Amino acid sequence: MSRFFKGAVSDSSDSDSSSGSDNEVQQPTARRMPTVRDFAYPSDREDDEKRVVKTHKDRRFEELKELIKKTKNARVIKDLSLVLQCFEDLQKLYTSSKTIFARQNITTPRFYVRYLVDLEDYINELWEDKDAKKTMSKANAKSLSGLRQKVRKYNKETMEADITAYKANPDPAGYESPEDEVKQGSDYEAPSAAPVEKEKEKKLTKKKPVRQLDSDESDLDEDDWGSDSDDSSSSDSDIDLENQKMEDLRKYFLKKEFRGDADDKEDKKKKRKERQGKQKKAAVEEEDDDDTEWTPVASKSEKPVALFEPKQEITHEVMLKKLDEVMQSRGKKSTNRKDHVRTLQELYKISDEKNLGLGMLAKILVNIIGSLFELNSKISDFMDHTTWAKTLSTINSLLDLLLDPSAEVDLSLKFTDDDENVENRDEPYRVNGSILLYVHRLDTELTKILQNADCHSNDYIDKLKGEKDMCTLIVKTQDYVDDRVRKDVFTNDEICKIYMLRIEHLYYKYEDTVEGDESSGKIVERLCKKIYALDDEKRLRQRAMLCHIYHLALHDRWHEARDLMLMSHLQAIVDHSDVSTQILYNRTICQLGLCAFRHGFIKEAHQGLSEIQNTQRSKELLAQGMVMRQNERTQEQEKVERSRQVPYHMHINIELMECVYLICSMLLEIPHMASHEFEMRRRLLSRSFHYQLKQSEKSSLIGPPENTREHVVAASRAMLAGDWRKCRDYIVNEKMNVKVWNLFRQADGVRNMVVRRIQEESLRTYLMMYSTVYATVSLSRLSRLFELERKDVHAIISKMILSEELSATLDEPTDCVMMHRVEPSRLQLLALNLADKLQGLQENNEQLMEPRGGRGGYSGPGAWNYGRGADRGEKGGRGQGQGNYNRQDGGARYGGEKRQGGGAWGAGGRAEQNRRRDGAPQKNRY
Amino acid sequence: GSTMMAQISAPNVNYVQIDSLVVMKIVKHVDSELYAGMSEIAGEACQGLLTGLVAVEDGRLEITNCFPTARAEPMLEADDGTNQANQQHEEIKHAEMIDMLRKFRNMNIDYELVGFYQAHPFSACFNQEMAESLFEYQSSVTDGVVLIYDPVKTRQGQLSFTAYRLSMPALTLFHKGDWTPESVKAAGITFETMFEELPVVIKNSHLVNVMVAELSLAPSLRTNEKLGAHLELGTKRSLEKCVRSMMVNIDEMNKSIQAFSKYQMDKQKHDANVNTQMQKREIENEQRRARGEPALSMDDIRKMKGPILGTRNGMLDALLTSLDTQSLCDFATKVTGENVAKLFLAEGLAEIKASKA
Repeated sequence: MSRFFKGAVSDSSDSDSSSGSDNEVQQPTARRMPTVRDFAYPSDREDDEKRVVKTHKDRRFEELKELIKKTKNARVIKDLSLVLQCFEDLQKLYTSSKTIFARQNITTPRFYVRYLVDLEDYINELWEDKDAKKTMSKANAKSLSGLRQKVRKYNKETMEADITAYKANPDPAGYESPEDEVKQGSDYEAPSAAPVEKEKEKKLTKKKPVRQLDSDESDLDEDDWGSDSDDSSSSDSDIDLENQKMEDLRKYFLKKEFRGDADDKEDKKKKRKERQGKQKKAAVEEEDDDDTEWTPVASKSEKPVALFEPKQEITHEVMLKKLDEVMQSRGKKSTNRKDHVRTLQELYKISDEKNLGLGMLAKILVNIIGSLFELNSKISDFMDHTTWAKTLSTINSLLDLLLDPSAEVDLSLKFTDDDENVENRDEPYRVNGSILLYVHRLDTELTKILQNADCHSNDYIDKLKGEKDMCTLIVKTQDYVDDRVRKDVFTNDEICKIYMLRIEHLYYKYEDTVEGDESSGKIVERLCKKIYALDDEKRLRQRAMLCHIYHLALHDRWHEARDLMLMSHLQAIVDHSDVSTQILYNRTICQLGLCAFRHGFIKEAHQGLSEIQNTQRSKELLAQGMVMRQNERTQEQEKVERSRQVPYHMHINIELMECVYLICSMLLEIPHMASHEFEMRRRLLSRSFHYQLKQSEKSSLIGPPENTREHVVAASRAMLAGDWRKCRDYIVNEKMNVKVWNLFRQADGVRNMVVRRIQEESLRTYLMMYSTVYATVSLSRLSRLFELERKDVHAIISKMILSEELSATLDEPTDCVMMHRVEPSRLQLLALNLADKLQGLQENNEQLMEPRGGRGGYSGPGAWNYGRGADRGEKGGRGQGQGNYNRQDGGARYGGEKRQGGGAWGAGGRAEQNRRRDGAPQKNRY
Repeated sequence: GSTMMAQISAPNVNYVQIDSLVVMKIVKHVDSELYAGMSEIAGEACQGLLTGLVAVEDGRLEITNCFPTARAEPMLEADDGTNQANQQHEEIKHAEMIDMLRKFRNMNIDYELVGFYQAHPFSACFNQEMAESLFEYQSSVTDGVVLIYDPVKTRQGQLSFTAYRLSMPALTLFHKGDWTPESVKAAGITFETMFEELPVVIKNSHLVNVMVAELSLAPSLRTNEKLGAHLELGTKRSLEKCVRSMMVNIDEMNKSIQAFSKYQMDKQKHDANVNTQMQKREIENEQRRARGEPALSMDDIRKMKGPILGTRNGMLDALLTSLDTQSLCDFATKVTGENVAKLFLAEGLAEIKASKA
């Protein structure tokens, strides 16, 4: 009779008249007396040894009884609050010991049930007794009502079955399990132990004094289990379990010796494991001979059989029980996690062999996956790559199982343990778990692995190969989810998450050729649209949108990407989202900027990139590397930041980005500088560019440029002087080809675009810088000078005249530009600036006079600011007449706002860009 | 007390008379340095010392001679020795001055120091350094003045010399070194009353007068061809410079005003605070008096520190900047006014020429 069955029988033997033995089994023993071990196997004990050994269970029993005794005393002195307290303690103690009982297959101890019934009766009695109640002290009365409620509730909810069972066959009133009542409570647990093996027990104790040392403390069931196998196999089992070498084995024992009996808890667990192992061995044992001591008898492949007894019929129930048991040890300190996994794998094999159905397999797989993830105790640690691969394959097989058309297996977190169905083949199997969670977790683990790998080594590439498998797994999962969309198995959120996962593995990859049935662009679009439709929370939608934009930008679909970006209003909301989304946003903005650059939209590219580049923290903002800074972060922060890092293969080339940004700045800023040469307050389009320019101005000796930055700065100087050839040579040369241009996909196209822009902007700069020198310039000369088509020159100059950058007229017959001298002279500009300043001074002065009043002071005749409105109007007129006065003013204010930028993760910059985008259409209207 | 009174006694003179020799010497000194571009390098005004005598009865300060002071060597701002070098330099300067004065005495030239001269474009001479040196001179020589020479205007054809001295209240304030808004207000100093400008009379020797008369009668100088030179505007660059420095000054003033308005606000708060405290104390004292206890003094409240104006030298900077700006403005108005007149003149002349033709 297996102990499992035993337990089951005792559970169901409620009205069994011959339940004497059962009763006895349930009767706990406080202390074990070897003398009364009547039907147990006396020979297998060291009989003469009087051991005062208590099992865990016994200790619990004793504690329980102690409390019950206390209650009784309290009842005698009618201290109801004490009764209440005892009851609560008991209840707690009982629930905590429940697991132990369950493990040892003990049902609710009878004395406990009896106690409960007695207590309830007693309380009811008291409750009915109105007179007694009246005389009761206040505290007692209060306790009584509380006690009554609690006991009722407890009895009804948790113990009903036991109590009814008890009531059917009650003990005589006042019956008590006497202190010295001796039962074989512990022996019932091991009825499976065959008497044949008993003498081997002796051998064990003799042969292995080491074991005995600690088994002084050990309980008897340990011995019972031990008796299943001989000592050699028990040591074998150790070897097997730990999968350690002899050396380790030695240590294992040594350690135990040192620990002695101090750590009996630890030992107990060990023993439990041994017990398992020994039980496994039981089957093997029959073939094996005992005398092969210390040699591993059972190889791993044999182990599965050993998990169960040889002749035992492995049913679902048995399997579940076993699984439960194995899972009990999960997460404990002493449990070897690897062995744990291995055991589970064996269980899986057995279930597979015995054909226990897909449900069971799924359940075991779920557990295996869980254990695999738990191989690492800390969540911040990254998984071993091989373990990762193993987990991947396990999840894969689970998925295959789920996709198996022969039987339907539902995996959902919605199922509780009771809902699970692993036996019934007629209904769909139900298992608690979530494949999506596993896939997600696996993905994060992969990211962690990649984050922690050296990105310049081959190792990284090897690990990166896992990414492909990951992708296939995700696709498979997605198919699975798609299949079940209509069945309402998955919530929208779950569906979105798996789509998102797919997208996140797709969006940053460039697809050269359309292969297969669907291009990645289409997939991304399709999935993103689904997410837009399904996601209720904003986060996934935002992320999907960002990925979508990124993907579009990567594939040079500039207009679509930009429109999506503008429509999404992400700039406004991204500040409120989580950090990883903000990083994604930053990445997207950069990619968008690069895309714009490839298309020759310099202004837009500049906008996109300046958010990141202007901050000097591009690495940090893109999460592409840790920045060492003065203000030390705590380790915690550093860890968090490390975990945010984008894996290397997803990086955006920062040097390339910086170079592109500087080139954009050059193309925009140099003409701007030329046109605003005399302005006192310069408005800076890009601060970092100006910084670079100034740095190079400061150096007394300018050597040939070395890095890309210096190249661009040198080119800028050349452009400012109107020398476009030099400028081009600085930008497009061998060095820059290697570092920048060859990294573009259509390198030639981009190069040509840049050269062309350099020509145009140089022409503009030249005209603005030297317009004062010329009275007339012939267009053909300009076109020769800048190697531009005559009509292009014409177009550029017309545009400049139109936008009031150049005051000139085009004279058709002579094919000349005629310069006008309408720009204010330097003195005039200075005077205008002075007037501006004076106005500020005056306002300050007024504030001094009327500190509170602010603007609205006395405004009649004789007032300081009388007629200022008229003044203003006049000034406005003048401003228009002279072109750039007002605009410059606006620019300065703008610059002021700009300086406020630079919040965390580019927050300020983003807001600024928001404004800029808002402002953009207005500018275009000019 | 007596020394102080001795130091700050009312000046006796009410106008300055300078010898033409002094004029010529100053012009020569300044122009040579200006042409050499030395003032731009050293960043220091070129200056020198004035000697002469005081005619107390006539209320006249006669400046009869002058000599330039050596410029500071443009020093490398490097080691810690800078300060030492500066000191050394000061000593050398002083020794040179004494030496020069001794030589003057030997040559029977007036050797009494009566002030110093400085060259400043647009006569915008007002800075802290100048004011402080002037205070030093005035406290040792009662009738000391500073003579400001404007090379720009002179080059434009108008000899420009102005003599300034600190007014009495300014002198006392300098002596106290207290430029808080309250004391400035109490002394009644505004930027207009801080300095006194003295009329300058240039005295020529008789021989020179004769020569000038001769020259003015000489026909070669009265030809119409030369007239054009006087009509040249030629002020573009100087005006630019003038406006630029005005802008700098206005920025400074803006800062001062902001500091002052902050001060004002703090002051109001402080005053209100003191007021309420005093009232409280008063009420308390009355109660105490009623109880026959001695009244508490109000000293601790009165001693409470008021706010401090957030500038370096209190109101001094603001006053000097205002003065500086005023001179710049004067220059600008004068020049533009003259330019307008010149334009009209030129127009008239052109018409005459046209009609003649």
